[in-house]
Amino acid sequence: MTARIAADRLLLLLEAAAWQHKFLYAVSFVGPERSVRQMVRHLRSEGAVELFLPAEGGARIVRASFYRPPLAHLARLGEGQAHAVLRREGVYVARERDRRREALWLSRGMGLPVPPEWVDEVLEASGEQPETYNMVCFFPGDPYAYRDLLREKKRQKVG
Amino acid sequence: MVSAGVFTNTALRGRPALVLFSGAVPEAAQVARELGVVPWVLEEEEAAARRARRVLSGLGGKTVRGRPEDFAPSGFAALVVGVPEGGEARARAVAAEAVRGLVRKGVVFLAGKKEAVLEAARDLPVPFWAQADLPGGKAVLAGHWTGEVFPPTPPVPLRPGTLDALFEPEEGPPPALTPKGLEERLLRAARTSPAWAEAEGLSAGGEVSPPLLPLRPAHLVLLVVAGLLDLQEVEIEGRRHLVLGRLKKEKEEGEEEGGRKVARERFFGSLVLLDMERLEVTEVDA
Repeated sequence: MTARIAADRLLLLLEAAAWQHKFLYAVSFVGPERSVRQMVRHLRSEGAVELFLPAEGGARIVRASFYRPPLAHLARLGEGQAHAVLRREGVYVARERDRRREALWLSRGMGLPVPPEWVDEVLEASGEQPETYNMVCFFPGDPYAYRDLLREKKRQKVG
Repeated sequence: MVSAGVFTNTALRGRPALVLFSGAVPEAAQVARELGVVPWVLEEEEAAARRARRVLSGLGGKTVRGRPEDFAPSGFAALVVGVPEGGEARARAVAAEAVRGLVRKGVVFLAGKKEAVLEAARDLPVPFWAQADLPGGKAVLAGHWTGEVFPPTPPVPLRPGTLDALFEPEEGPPPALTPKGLEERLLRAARTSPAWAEAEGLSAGGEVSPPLLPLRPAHLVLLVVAGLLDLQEVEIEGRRHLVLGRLKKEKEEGEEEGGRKVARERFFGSLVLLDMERLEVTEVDA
């Protein structure tokens, strides 16, 4: 099945999303321009939506809303269709993995340099991250957890 | 026509059902009517659509004109397919595709001549069938679609309440019939749309003009603490170091000048270096 986002009487194609428990962190959807704009208004006023995600043998349903009005980016696709990406401030969002960009974002957020090859370890050490569908999204890293990770790596190296 | 009561199952009452080829096989429309589903009728010809509408009037839903092969259904709790005689292969192909548009734990109905129905059910990804034989050599098969593929079992008799005992309706997205290809095209366009580039912060910054005068050391320090060399590797004392520039702004309460309090903002630049061999972090004030 194709992923969908629904609220009230609106049903649009869901292109990508990130959420944790009942909170949305980012969402990308596409459809008729009027419906897309209505959905953006709904989400910016903290309205809840249902995400229908493809799962083995059916759909997985996630009910979530943004905690506070998100940043909205809109683009017209022609033929009366539009695309919107909404994201909460302070989270990293991207379509694809890019270790160097992720490392830069984490480094600047924590004030400590993170080599690109350690990104996954740093994210794991920083605690629970949002679930994602078709996108990359994560919270800022935890500098204390990163310092612990450095200590642990040093201990392993010396040991 | 189907004898009344065979489909006395309440599990699907009021749920959306996709109804195909019911103009050619009235039993299919009758099944939908007895189940009390909200029918979405997809018919290729106007005359067939009219016939289906007549039987299904009063149940709501909608009639869409077009070839079933050209649409991608989603969010339906049931699929009702009339199997026209001689059209078993087409009905099977259409049903095999449409079954994936059912919400998990949906039900597939095949109605028509018994042989045609059994032929159409062959190889469908439905592990469990219940069968009701109808007068005139006709039959209805009700299949329980769970999305999981098990070895198929022989059909059990379909009686009033069979579905209620088996089938727990599951919530799904609102039903939709989308022309095939449109969804893929829209999703592709969304993936490359400027909205994504903006959200990722990848908007083009334009070309940077070269400075009019040569940069002085103080300029270079500012550029470095502002992040120009972030995550670059440098060698210090023969060891690899990873560089990160940091710039902090602090507000200082100033003295009163002419009855007004003046606050000053000061910028503190520093370089953070990660020694990749000793795994130590050093901060150097710029």
